[in-house]
Amino acid sequence: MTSDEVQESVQTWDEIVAAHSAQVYRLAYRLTGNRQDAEDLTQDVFIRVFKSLDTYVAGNFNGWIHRITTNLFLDRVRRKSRIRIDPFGEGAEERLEGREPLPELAVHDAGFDPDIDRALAALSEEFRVAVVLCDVEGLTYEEISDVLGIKLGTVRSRIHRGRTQLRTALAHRAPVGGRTRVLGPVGI
Amino acid sequence: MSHLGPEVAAYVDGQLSAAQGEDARSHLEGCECCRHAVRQQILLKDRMRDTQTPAPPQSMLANLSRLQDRDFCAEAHRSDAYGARLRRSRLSGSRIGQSPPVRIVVAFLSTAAVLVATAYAVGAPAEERADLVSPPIDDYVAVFWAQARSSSPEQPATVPSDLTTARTVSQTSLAQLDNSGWPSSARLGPFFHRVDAAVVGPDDALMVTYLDGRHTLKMFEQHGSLELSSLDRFRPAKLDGSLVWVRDGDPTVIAWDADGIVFTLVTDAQVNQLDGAVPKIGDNVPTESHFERIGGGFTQMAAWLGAA
Repeated sequence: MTSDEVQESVQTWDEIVAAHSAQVYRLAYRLTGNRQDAEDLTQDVFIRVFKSLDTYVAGNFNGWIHRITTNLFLDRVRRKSRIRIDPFGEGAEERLEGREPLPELAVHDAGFDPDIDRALAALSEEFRVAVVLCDVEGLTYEEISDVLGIKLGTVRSRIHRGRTQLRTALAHRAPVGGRTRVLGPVGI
Repeated sequence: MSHLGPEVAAYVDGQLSAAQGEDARSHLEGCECCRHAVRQQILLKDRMRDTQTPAPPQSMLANLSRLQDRDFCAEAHRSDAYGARLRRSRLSGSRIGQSPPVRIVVAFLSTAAVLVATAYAVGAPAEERADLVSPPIDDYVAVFWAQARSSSPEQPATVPSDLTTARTVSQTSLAQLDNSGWPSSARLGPFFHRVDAAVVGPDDALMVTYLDGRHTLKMFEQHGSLELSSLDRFRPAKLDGSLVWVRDGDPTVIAWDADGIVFTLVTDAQVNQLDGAVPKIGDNVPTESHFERIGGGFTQMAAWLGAA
C-alpha cells in the first residue's frame, strides 16, 4: 500500500467531499453543459461513492470517481435518448426536453467561454466525454481507455473526431456578447 | 509518411510512441497542411484547459456533506427499535413515526417531493393494521383517458375535480426517490419508460406515467392494503408468479398491494403486452428482500431528501 493509499483510507467523508467535489462538479458541468444538471449529476456521483465506499479497494480514487461520473452521465443520456426516439403524443417532446443544455445561463465573467460551452453541447456525448477527459481533466489516453472501458484506438479516434467537430462548430460562431476571451482558435 | 490524419490528436497529446513521434515530426517539417492541423488542435486544447467552470454551489457542498448522515440512519435501521418500526410500517401499511431522519424530511423538504415523502413516510401515528384502500378505479380511468394520447371511443373523460389539480413531481425529485429505493421504478419491463409523475387526489396518490412508444401506462400508488371487496369485474391472475387482480377491457386495469402500498395500473396495453412490467414494482408475497428494499428506501429517502 502506498502512502497515498494510506492517506486515502483514513479520509473522513468531509475530506472526501472537500477533495473531490470541485473536480466532479467541473467534469459534470463540462459533460452536461448546465449548472442544474451538473449539480444533479455531482450529487448522484457522491451518493454512488458513499454507497460503494465499503467495497472500494484502495487504488486510483480519481480514476474511480471519473468512471462513476462518466458512467452515470452516459447512462442518463442513453436512457433519455431511448425515450426520445419513441413516437410519443403531442407535447411529449417538450416535456422530455425540458433540461437541454443551457449554456446561455453560463456566467459571462472573465475566463468563462460560452462559445466552448455551446460547441461542446453540440458534440455527441461519446466524443464529448473523451475530449473533456483529455483536455479538461488532463487524463492520458490509457487512463481514458480505462475509465470508459474502450480500446486505445477508439480513444484516439474519438478525441480526434471530437476536436475536429469542435473546431468546425467554433469556426461557425461569431463571438457573442459577454465573451471576454479574444484569443483562441476562433475562425481557424 | 502520408499526412498525419487522425494521428494529429495523438501527436498533440504526446500519445504517440517514440518512433511514431519521430516519424510525425519529420513529416511536419515538410507539410504545412499538417502543421496547421496540429496548431489548431493545440490552440483548441489550450482553450479547453483554460476555460473556467462555475464554482460548485455552497448549497450542493453542504448537501454532499450531509450524505454521511446516512450513517446515522443506517445504524438506526440496524437497531431493533428502528427496524421494528420499519417492519411495523411495512406490514401494517402505517406510516413511519417520529424518527430523527423523518424530522429532517419534515424540516427540509419543500418541493413536490415533500408531498410524496410525507404521504408515505410521516404523518399519522403507527397503526397495527393497514388501512384498507378502495382505489377510485373509475376516477383513475378518467384521468387516464384525459391524459393518454388516444381517447376512449366511449368513455367521456370527466375527471373528478380533486384529481385535476395534479401536483407535478420533478424529474430531480424522482431521481432522488430512485436513489432512495422508492418503488416508482424508472422502467417497467423492457419497454415502458417513466416520463413524469404527480401527486393526485385527496389521498395524495402518486401517479407515475410510463410510455413504451405505443401505449400509455399510469401507475397509481397509495398507502394501505387493497380492499378486495371493492374490486368490481376483476379476476385474479398470476403474472410472473405474483397474484394480481385484473379488469380486462379498454383500458386494462390491474391492482395489487405489496409492502404496504396499493398499486393500481391503468393502461391501453393488453395484459400480454406488459412484458413483465407488473411484478417489477412489487410482489404481494412479503419477503425479507422486499423488507430490506423498502425499509432501506425509507431510511435512504429520509436521509437523502432531508439533505436535499
